Amino acid sequence: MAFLFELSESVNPFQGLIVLSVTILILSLFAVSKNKVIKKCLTALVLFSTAAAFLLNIHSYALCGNFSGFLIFFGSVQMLEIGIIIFSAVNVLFFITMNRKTEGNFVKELILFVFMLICAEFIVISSNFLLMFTSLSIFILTVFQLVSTLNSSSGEMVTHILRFILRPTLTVIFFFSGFSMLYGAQDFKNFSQVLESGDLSNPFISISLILFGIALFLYFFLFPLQGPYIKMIKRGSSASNAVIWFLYFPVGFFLFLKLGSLYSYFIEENNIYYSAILAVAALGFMLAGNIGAVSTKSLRRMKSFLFLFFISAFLFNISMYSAGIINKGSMGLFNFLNILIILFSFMPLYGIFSSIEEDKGKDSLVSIRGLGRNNIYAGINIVIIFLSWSGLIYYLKPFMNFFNGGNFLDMGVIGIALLIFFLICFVFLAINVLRILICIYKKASGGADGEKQEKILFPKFLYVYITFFSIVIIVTPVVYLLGRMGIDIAFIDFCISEFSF
Amino acid sequence: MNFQLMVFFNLILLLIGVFGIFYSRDIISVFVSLQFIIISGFINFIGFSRFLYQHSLWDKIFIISGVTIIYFLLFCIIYYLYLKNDAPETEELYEEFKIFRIKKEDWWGEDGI
Amino acid sequence: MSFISRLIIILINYISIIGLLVCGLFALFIKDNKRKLLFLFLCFLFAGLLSFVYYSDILFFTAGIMMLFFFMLLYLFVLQKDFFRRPGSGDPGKEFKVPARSKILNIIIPFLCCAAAGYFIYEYVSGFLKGVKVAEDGGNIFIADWSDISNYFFTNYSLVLIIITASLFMSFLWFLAVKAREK
Repeated sequence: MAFLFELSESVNPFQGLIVLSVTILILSLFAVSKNKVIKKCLTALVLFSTAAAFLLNIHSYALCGNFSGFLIFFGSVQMLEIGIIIFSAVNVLFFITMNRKTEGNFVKELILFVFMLICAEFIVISSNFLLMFTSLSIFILTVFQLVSTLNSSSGEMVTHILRFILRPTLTVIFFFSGFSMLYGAQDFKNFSQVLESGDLSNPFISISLILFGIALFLYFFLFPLQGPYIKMIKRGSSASNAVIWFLYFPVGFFLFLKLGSLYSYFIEENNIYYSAILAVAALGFMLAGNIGAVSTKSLRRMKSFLFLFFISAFLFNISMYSAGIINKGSMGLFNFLNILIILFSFMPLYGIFSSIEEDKGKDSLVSIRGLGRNNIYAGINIVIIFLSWSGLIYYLKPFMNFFNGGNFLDMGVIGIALLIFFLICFVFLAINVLRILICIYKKASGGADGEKQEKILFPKFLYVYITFFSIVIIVTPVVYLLGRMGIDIAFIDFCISEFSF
Repeated sequence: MNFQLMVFFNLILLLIGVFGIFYSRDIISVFVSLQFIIISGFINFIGFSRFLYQHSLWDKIFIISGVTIIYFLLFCIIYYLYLKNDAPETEELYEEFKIFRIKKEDWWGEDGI
Repeated sequence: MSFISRLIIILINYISIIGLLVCGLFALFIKDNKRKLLFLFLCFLFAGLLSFVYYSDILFFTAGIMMLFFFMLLYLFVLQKDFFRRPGSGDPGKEFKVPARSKILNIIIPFLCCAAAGYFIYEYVSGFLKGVKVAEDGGNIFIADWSDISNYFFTNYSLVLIIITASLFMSFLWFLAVKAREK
């Protein structure tokens, strides 16, 4: 045992990565296998190794604390980010297994998936530019490989996959260009050196930051360049959509957080034009996402537009910070809450809607009509999940501080504009949610012969899956309220109301 | 040899690449335009190394790994295109393919299926 | 360094810069795909020449290998595409027609955007560049050789090397997966 602990300390903080690499080695021995039993065993192995990576990630932080090396930095935020990535990876694994377990390439897809997870973890822990760039490029390469393999049965997807993947490729190339500019400013090797140098007014640094900004804009498919992403989601297989939503976007967001400290330097300069551009961009993206969702009847399009809305909310957080409404710590908290809302609401919704889609064979709002009446349990769960979006009201709290104690006009023009536009976006979001809920609780239209529509049934494990998320969604605000009321909850050592960055 | 000339020349190459991405109508031209941005980054690295830090190895390391990975990514994309060349709809890639084409259907209404 | 050697290097520098720019513009605007790729390849040769001038010739040989693979595949692809053109699109008269107005706008709008961006960057950078201290030309020249680079690579960046190698292995599996489906 002592030997194991010694070994664990010597490879800190790579324990999780080593477990995943060993899994890849084992999987590659069976890469061409088509045996059903072997496939099941290998899926279980991947699940166990991700669970082990999750635990080792927390364990290594608890044991050794922060770790800082030439290439990597591993702290509490990184531990949290890796935890979130592994959690979403487990869900993606669930969707891949559901949709692809009968395919001949299933084991190869599993290998690519685990490797993608490794690259994602490297992006999170990397501090050195070279490791960051390499892991980002390979992550995008693996996303391309996995998505193309998951959609290999459909010939018409080729164009859409190529259109989709050229944007992240451009991101990689812009990052290369940006790093070359940073090299011109000084012989920097990581972002903390750039911050420590104190000479951020250097034009090369500014140009490289603009290039990184453009690269991230392309990566997230923000308005008005969302076309390839929407088309891809509309036509892609369920498994590939899960990969894009729950791995590609969160990892991009964590990459963005890495650059956040540099951008916040410029925000702290308090340039009014900078704040205004950020505010207009954030609100434009949010509004466009919601309007796009209102104007369509396709469920997939609605979901992907709403996803874009939540992604744009990150930009809204930054613009609130740049307008001086919240501080840097609150911005970090808002960002993390936002990503948790995205994952905990979209995953069960995705499970339910993709199951209905497979059952009915079409992707339309009409196919979920009468779901709430036919299948009361699923209806209640969907309502609970949508109710979690009302948590977006927490955005109003920092604005309310100006109304309660301080002067309303202290918010500034940008602050007032942010508040008004946020309310408009929120109304649009409510319209979208109501639209889906009304459709769910509407009377199901009769079939062609006037017969009553059949009950919509899901696989049993999906009930367990959505129940888990609903319980989390219900328990979280209850724990928060109890914490606010000062009631001690003995079973966990963690209080949400006191959680801060 | 002039440092300023090198910097401005690289900026021009970068802008030519960006212009090419907007201008190109088929996928081969898009690939050609991407090369300009890569070359610009490449020359930036070696130029800065030559003019500012003569004993640095960082640029060489970055270029060797960076260029290898970027070209490997592009190689995989071309391989995929090569393999699926007969698939329906791929013809569109050689005739009317703009990387930043914005259509009304991208954000309003349905997209034709 | 003698005066003549310095002069030769400066001449090669200017020739490669001009060659890069001219070939680049040709590669961008020529319609024939094979010639386009030819000019692009010339561009890369000039970039390689520049790497000699900037004492980084090692990169021409190491980074060039992957570029060559990419070029070979791209060139093969273009050749195959030209050879097996579909009957409908083979006829030049039936090519995708774009209205003249949209063609002109397609050039002017990106050009204006890039020109504006270029102007702002020029304004922003030019003042700063005048104050930059450039290394003297007459001092000792440091030309990195492969042993320096590999030493540096293996001591500090072995992790990067492992990831790149692993990605090559994964891609091999992907080549198999995509190819198998095609059958």
